[in-house]
Amino acid sequence: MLFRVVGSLRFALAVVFFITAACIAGTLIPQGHQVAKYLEHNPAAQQRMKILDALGLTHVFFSKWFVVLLCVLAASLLVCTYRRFQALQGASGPKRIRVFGSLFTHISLLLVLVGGVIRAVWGETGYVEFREGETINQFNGNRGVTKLPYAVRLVDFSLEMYGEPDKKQGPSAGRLLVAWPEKELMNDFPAVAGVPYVVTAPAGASAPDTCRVTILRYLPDFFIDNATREARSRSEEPKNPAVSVEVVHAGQYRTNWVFARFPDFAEHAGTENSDNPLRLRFEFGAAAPAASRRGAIKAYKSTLQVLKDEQVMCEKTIAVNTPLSYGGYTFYQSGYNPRDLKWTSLQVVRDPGVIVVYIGFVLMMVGLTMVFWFAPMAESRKRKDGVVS
Amino acid sequence: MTWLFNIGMVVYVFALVVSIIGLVSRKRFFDGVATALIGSGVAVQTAYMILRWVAAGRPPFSNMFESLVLFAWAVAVVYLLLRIWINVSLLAAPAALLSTVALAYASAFFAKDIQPLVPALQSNWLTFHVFTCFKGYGGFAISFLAGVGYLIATRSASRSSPEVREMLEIVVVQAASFGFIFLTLGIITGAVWANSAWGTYWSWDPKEVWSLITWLIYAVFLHCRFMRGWRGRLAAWISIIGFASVLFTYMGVNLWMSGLHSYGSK
Repeated sequence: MLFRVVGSLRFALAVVFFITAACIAGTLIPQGHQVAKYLEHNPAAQQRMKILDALGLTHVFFSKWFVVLLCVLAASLLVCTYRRFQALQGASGPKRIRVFGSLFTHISLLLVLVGGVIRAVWGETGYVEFREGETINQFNGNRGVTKLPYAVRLVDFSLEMYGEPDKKQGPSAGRLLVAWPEKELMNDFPAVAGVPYVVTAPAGASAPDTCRVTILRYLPDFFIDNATREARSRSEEPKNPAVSVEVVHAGQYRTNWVFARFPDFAEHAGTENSDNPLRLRFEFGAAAPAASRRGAIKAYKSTLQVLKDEQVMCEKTIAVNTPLSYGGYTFYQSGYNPRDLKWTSLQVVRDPGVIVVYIGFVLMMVGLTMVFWFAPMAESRKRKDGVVS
Repeated sequence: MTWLFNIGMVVYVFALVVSIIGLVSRKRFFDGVATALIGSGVAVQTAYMILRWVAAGRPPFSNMFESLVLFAWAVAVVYLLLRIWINVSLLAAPAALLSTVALAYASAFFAKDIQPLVPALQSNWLTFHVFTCFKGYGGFAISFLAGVGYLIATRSASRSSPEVREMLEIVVVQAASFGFIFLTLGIITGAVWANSAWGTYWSWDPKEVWSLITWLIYAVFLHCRFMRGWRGRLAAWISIIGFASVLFTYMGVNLWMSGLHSYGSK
């Protein structure tokens, strides 16, 4: 009786309905660490969130009752799969193809769930953070501090920007500090050429006043060529870094050179005698957060060496989407520190269940193709054969 | 390149006008012209996407503008595929309208300029994952349009013939099946990509969860259709509810929820 109930379509639909409702709740109600952030902006919701938390609705996908729902789903799938096995015996022709396809899709869902369980029980995830030249042989993970069967050394870390040469990035540009004394406004932007920034000053009843600031050019070693009267760079070494800044205000265009090493000297800078409303200052090098170039990052890469008994077993440069897998562990490029370009953060994962999940994925597509493509084709051919005969 | 985008939109508008004339006059000539115009719109859009791909040096699938262009293209392509197999000329007008609205929305609210890819999107999986998802959305969109058409046709029996109602019913199911296969493939490619980028194939991200919700809705629909014979108005309503879920998955999550797919909100 229980077997018939669990294997019925009605039961499966009910389980799917509850899982769907739980999923919707899990996306509409703040989850986990989002709760604290939500309460910061909505302190009046304290009581409501307490109730939701007690009901397990602030951590839906990791709650016991959701796991129970998934187990019930698995039970339903198991019984459905068994019934399809039984249905195979009496099936032939297109119907057999359809039943086989249906069997594969249901088994695939079971495999995906099993793969998830394997990961939850035997999988390991964690993070490592280290700097160039440092070596680690353990990581902080979901099971506490976990020792690796080998050591990993960070040989090199590099940050690549769009529009800049493809080489290791040092502090080649910094930040532009913008002050609007009349409006008592201060702001700062990454010193990226070609990216316009808008400084907006609220002006009470009238429309806000804006200045558009664009860095036109960066020269690491500024000098004026006496022959051509052009601004050029003597070398690639940042001995006299300067940026050419265009300021647009009230339809007027003004261009200034701003020098990192001579902040008080700016060509037609925003001084009392200038009609440029802004005061500009270019910070470069150690004083500047070198890689604060929001929105223009092309790639961040870590070159890793795997060491066993001081021997280099392998070396690979990893980036997002190209991890390093060795000895059962996989290292994923996770983060970087814009204030320290020799630092990297990697995610470490060991997931023995992923191969089971992938087999499930393949079986799912095979099953769907059989149900929605091969079975109708076979039915159509059978109908034509029937018409012909 | 923008001129190609604008031509595509204009062609869909012409297709819409011609198909409405066809519906009103009941002359098959206009149905053929409307379908040809939709085909032309697809060709122009394909050229636009290829040129944008070449100019950007990466697939044009990385933000809301590009995804809306892809969505408009997918709706029109699915309509044409179904048109080859079954006479769904009745759906030319709504398909052209939906494609036009998608392109107009993209043009009005999202920047057309080509932005470089953030590191997380620099993968060949971007093409497979986004393309398959949007083919799925295209299928669900046609299913939705057929569902709405069926509800209108059945409100009064004298409005349409039984053949038309049967045709719309077939389209609701076939388009939903088409969409379901591609959405499944889209979810799978997304999971494989996530595993190669972040070390986990499923992180209960809002986008992932809503894709799952949409998948579950259509899985239930197809189960009940093939095992319990759900058809008619019930099937039409489920195709509408399913498409509402598709829209929330596609746009609602991008615009109102933050997560791993947040780069799709620009």
